[in-house]
Amino acid sequence: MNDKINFKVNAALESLDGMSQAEPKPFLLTRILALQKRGGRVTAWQRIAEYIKRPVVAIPAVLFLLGLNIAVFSMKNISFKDNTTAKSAQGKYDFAINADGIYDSENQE
Amino acid sequence: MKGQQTGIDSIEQNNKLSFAAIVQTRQRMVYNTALGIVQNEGDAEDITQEVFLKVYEKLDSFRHEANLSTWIYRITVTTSLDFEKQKKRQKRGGLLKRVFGADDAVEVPHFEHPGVVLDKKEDAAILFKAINKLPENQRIAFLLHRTEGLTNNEVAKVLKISLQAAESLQVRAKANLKNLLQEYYKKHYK
Repeated sequence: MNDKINFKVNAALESLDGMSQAEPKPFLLTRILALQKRGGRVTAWQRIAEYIKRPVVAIPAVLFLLGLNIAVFSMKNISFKDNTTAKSAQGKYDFAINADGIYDSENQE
Repeated sequence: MKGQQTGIDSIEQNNKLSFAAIVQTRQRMVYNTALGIVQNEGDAEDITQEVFLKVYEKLDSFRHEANLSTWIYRITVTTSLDFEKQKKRQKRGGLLKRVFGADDAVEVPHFEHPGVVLDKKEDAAILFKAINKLPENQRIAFLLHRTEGLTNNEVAKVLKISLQAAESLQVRAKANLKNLLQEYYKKHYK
């Protein structure tokens, strides 16, 4: 058993013999020069900005915001209409009170 | 003024040409060293780009006290180790790990070096796992010697240590690897 383990250990230790060098992906120089133009490595914030700028993200986000605006605006319109009916009703009521007052003053005379 | 500008442009052009030559001749060397350390092809690509950016920035300050390759090896090793530390920090900071109090040790993923001979790939993957468990200086010394084929003298220059120290690192790395591999095979060998 020990011999077998030692054999495996030696095989693992010698497994790097005759290995060749791995190659990076092509056009490394072009990529480096592009990185240089951009001003070095991309930070996390830049990555987020890049992500947001993508049409797949940007267009739905703009549509969502537009929808939200329309929804808020139409809800305000409804509440504005409610307000005007309430105010007009209140106006009538005020008139009635005023009218009562007039009659009261007439009766006094 | 215009003549001065053309002079600057030509120096820049020359710098670009010499930089391009450096990238062409040293890209494999940088990529392989980074790959051995981080054991991930995508990360090694990123590190290679970062190393050459640093080389470009510091090329003027290179004083020829060391060999250009030695200098680039040094940058590669430090950049790779920094990258690795940053990645480990990110993994450790994972919310789930913090919530469940998982083990602090970072899991070593399975790695197959593309340059290893086909019938030795399985053994090499186990060896790379063991290499990952070595202390940092032993790991770097072993990788530079075995995957890059550097002599102990060259390893000593890259790591800025004495020749004896480099030799000692190699001996200790081999002994530790033997122990780690023996433990592994005792557990997994049927």
